[in-house]
Amino acid sequence: MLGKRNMRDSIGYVTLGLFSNALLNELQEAANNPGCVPEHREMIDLAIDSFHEIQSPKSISRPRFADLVFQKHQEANALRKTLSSSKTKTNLREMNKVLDTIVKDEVTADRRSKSIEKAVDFFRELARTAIIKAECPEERIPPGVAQLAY
Amino acid sequence: MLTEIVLHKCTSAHKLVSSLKENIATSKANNSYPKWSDEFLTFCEHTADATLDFIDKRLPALEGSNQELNILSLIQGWEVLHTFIKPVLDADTLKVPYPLVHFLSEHIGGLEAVKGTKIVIELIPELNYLQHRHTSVRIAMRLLKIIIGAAYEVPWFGFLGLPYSQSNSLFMNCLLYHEAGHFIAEEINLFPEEDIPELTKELKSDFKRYANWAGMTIQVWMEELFADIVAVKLIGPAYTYASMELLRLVHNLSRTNIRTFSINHPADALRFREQLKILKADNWESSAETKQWQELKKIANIRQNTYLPPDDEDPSMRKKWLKLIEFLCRPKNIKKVHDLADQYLADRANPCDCFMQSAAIIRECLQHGIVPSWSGMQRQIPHPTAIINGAVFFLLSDMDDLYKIVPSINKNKVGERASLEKRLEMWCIKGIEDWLLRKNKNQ
Repeated sequence: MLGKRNMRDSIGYVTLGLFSNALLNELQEAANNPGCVPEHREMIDLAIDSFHEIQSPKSISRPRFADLVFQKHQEANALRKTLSSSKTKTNLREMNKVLDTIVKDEVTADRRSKSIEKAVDFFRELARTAIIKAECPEERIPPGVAQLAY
Repeated sequence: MLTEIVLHKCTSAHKLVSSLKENIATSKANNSYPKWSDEFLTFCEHTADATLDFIDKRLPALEGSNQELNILSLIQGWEVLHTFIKPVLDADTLKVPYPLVHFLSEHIGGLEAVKGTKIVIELIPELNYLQHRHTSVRIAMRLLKIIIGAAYEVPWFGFLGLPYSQSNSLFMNCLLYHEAGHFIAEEINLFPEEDIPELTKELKSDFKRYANWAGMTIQVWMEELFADIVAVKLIGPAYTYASMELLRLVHNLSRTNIRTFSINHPADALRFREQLKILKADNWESSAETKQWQELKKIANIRQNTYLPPDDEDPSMRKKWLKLIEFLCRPKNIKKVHDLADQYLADRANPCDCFMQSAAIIRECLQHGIVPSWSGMQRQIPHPTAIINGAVFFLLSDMDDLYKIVPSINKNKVGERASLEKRLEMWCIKGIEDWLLRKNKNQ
């Protein structure tokens, strides 16, 4: 093999990269109109629920198909490692508060704007680190397949 | 406005996605695909269109530093999808036992626990069967969809791989049911990560700093047992006998090998012991009487305290492995796996009941070299699980009846034997196809 990685080993980091970028796009849109609750907030809500579930497992009731992110070992591990090696000082609990502020009704434009700015910095750093790590994950996880191998 | 470097990356992404789209279009023009594989490929085509549109129109409107991050993530998302597309493109309807995989897909997708899921078949180079972990890919595709602003929903696919050499096989492909068991385990998050601390606590006194490793290994072994139990509950002894056939191919069922655990799999002796419990509970004992059944009983009787640990370079680990084996084999842990299978397969039909209804007619058809969808006066085609088990029993015990009516075939010549066995499997696959056609016609 020529390359340094197998994308199936990198799926946790790829997911984190896509997650952060999708969120950044929504936050960028929200930054243009901080006076009201963001019109598009699918990703912000997904982030709030997913981070909450990491901190208190089984706290979010959801239908089988409504997948949250970071509930699988590979994704959760990618998030942990990315957070520990990125420059950000913010932890998930703090970020959840920031995201909560962005989608709250009774928040001033100035406060929402500052929260959006903080979230953008956080997820931009997360996206950058995840993209780099996806190119060369430092550990090989057991094959991403469950084989009948005898 | 895009910077030079973003422009360059966008061009690379555009070429990659267009090329994949062309590959899919060419393959679809030249071949037909099983229903859900076709839907997966169509999903990839739509995703490709939406991605190209995003690169052309929406990406330039994003804030500068987001452009580069977005395009890099998109490329990585497509690199993941890339690894799924090729094995699916290889598995066109002429290269997979289409009626069997179609039936399996309906069989699994009809279970309440995983209702509506769609099984996509891949062809793989190894002589083995596998399930590709799908939930992470599904989440990645959902996020990709959000970024590119596509309007469709990501379908609920599962991916099972079969060896490319087994395209016409019925018997060996029963092993797909074990992989379907892994699919169900993943889909329902059978052994969630948050359960590990509790398990680790239980293992702490024996394993100390290895407790986390021990907990994860137990979960892996339990999932293997769960997948076996799912397979036997859904397809009966056909799965167990197919496993024995695969084992024989690999290591001749030696008594040492079948008692040995591996890092990823419990010992075969334990796996067969648990399968036999299900077969007996489902009342297969009177119908499944073959040489293999006797062998199975012998294997199931192997004493648990003779199970062997995996080979480990570190001799000090031997004791830990043995402790872990003892932990897995505790009745409450084995019962937990059975209980989970009972819980999630509560609505399954007992394959033995289906078999008993049609056993005689299937046997009679095969004795005369007739596709077992002919059902005499009954006007009802035997259920596929009955056809599959009938075929397996016939292959293992009754082939002499068929040799009698095909005198041109010399049963002592290996090539001629193989050719007749292949034909028998194809008649049965045709029988399953007839059942599916009748079912769809009646719906």
